[in-house]
Amino acid sequence: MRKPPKPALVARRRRAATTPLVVILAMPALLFLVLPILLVIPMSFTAGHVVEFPPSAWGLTAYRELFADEGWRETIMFSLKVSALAVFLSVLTAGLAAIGLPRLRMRGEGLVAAVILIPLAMPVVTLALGIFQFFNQLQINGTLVGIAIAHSVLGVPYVFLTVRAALSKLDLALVRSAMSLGAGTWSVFRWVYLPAILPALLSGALLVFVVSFDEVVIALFISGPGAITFPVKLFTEVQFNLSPAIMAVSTLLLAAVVLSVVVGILLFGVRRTVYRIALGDGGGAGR
Amino acid sequence: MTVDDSKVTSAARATGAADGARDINVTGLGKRYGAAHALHDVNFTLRDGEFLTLLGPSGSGKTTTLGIIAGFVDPDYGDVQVGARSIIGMPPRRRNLGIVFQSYALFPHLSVAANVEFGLRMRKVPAAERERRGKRMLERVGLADFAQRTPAQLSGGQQQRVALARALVINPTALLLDEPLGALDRRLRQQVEIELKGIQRETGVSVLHVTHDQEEAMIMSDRMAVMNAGRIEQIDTPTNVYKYPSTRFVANFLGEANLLDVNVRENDGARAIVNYADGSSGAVHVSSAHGTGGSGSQGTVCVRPERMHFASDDEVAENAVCGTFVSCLYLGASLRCIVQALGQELIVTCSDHAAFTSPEPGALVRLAWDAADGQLLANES
Repeated sequence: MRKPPKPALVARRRRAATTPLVVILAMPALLFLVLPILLVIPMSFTAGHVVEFPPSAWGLTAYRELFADEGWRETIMFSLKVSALAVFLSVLTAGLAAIGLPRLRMRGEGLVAAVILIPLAMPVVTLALGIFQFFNQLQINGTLVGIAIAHSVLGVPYVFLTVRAALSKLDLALVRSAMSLGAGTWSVFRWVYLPAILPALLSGALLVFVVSFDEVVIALFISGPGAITFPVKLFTEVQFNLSPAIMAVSTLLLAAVVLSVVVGILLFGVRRTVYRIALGDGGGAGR
Repeated sequence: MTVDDSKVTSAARATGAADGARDINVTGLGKRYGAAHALHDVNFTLRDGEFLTLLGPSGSGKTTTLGIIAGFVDPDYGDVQVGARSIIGMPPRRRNLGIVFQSYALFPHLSVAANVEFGLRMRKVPAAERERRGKRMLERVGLADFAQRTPAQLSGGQQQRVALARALVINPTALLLDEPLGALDRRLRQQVEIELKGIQRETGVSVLHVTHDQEEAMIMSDRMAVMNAGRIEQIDTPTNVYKYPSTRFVANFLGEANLLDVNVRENDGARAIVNYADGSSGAVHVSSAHGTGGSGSQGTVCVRPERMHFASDDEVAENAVCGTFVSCLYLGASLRCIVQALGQELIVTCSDHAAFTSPEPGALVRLAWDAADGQLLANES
C-alpha cells in the first residue's frame, strides 16, 4: 500500500563551519577568480582610445564611443530578441516533452529522453557545424529565427530536466482527484500540472536565456549580415578593433548581472537565489 | 437556487433508494497484471446510503477495486453499474464520485475554499452559488474559519476534512475513501472515524471505504467485505463477520482466533457435530453460505478467545477439551491465558473479576464453549 506522506519539515542542512582559517584560504581563490573580471571596470573609464591598465587619464570616452555606435545597441537588441525566442521555443517544446513523455508509457522512453539531452554532452563546435549545414539547406542561416532555433536546441535539455524534476515530485493522486472532481485534460493541466511545474519552467527559462544570450560558437557559425548577436560582436571587436568601448560594454553587462543578483536576493533571499543560479531549480531540490 | 440542496438530495435518495438507482453494482470484476490475478471474480453491491468497507491486507485487491470503480484502472473483465447503467469506459470526470485519497491530494497552490469549490468550478456552477455551497460544506466539517488558508497551513486532520468537504460538495453518487485515515496518528484517527461516520449519516451518502485497519472497518462500516488475494472472502455486517467468520483467513485477519482441526460427523448446514483432535465430540454452528464439508470430511472450527472459558469438571458443556495451563498475562481489564490442548496452544481471554484465580502453570484445566460460539469454517479450495 501507499506510504503515508512525508512530513513537511525537512531537516535543515547543517551549516558549514565558517572559521577564520577557511576565510583566509578562500580569499586568494576568490580574488583569483574575480579580479580579472573586475579589471574591466577601471579600464573602461579611460580618456584615451587605447586599452590600457591603469588608464593614463580618466574619462568617459569609452562610454561616449559606445553610445555613439548604433551597432552595439542593435546587436544587444538583436540578442535579446534571439534569446527571448529561444526561451519561448525551449520552454514550449521541452515543457510539453517532459509532461508528455512519461504519459506515453512506451518502450524506449529512456532513449528519447537521452536524445533530448544530447546537446548537453555534444561539443558545441560539432553541434554548430551540423546546424550550419542543415540551416544552409533550409536557408535560415543568418536569420534571427535560425539563431533562436539553434539556441533553443541548447536550451531544451535545461528546461526538460528542471520540469522533469518538478514532475517527479508531483503526487499522482492530485491528477486523479482533479479528474474525479470533473476536470478534463485541459483543466488537469491548468490546475495541477502548470502550478506544479511553473517554478521549474521559470528557472529553466532563465537558464535558457543565459545560455542563449551568452552563446558565441553557434552564433558565430550561423550569423550573417544584419544577424549578429551581442557576444559575436564582442568577440569580433576584440579580435579586430580592440577599443575601450569593449571595456565599457563589459562593465555595463557586469553591472546588469550584479543588479539582477541583488534584486534576486532582495526578492527571494540569499539561499534561494544562490540555488536558483547554481542549480536552475526552484528552491534547492537538487538533481 | 433557494432550496436547501441537502433536502433535495435526500429526497432524491429517498426515491432512488426504492429502485436501487443509486446502488453501485460490481459484478464478476477481474484484473490481471501479467500472469498474476490482482482481482478475481469480485461481486458486491454498494447500496444507496450504505457504508461499505473493503478490508484486507496489502495486495488483496481492495485498492484495485476502488481504482476500477473510480475509473483510474480498467478491469480485464466484469462490470460496474450505477443503477442499471454500466460505467466501464466512462472517464473518471463523468462518474460523479467523490474520492478522498490517503495523501488527501489537496491542490497546494489553492486556498482551502478554492479546493472545496474545485468540483463546482469544473461543473461551471456560478461563482455566487459555488461560494455559498463551498462555505456551507466547510461549516459542516468545522473549518469555516480556515477558508482562506492554504492546505500547507493546516494539520493532517484538518486537511483530511478539507478533502472530505471537497469530495462531498459535488453531491457525489458515492464517496470513495482510499485509506483516508492512514496518515493520521492513532488518537486522532479514532476521533476522525466517529466524525466521518457522523457526516456520512447526516448526508446519507453511500461510502465505499478501503482500509487494512480492522478496527477502523469495525467502527465505521454498515457492512464489510474482507478481501484476500484478489477475492472477497466474506461480506457481512461487522458483527457477523467477527462472530461468524466463514474462512480461516477471515477468522485470523479479524481479531484473534483459535482454529481447531476437526472431523465432521454430521452437518445439516446450520449445526454440525464434530470430533476434535483428542477424540471428544462437540456441537458447533455453521453459517457459511458455501463450502463446509459434509459428514466424514475434515474441517476447521474457529472459537474466539473470549468465548472459551475455564470449566469445572462437573460442568455440562456442548464443547469441552482438557489441556495444560501454560501462562497468563494480566492486561488490566482482561486476562490472556495460554493453554496447551488439542496439540496446539489455545488462547483464552477472560475478564478480570474477583472469582477468577489463575491456575498454576502445568495444572490440568478444562476448557468449554457453547455450540453457538464454535464456527465450522468453509473448506479451503
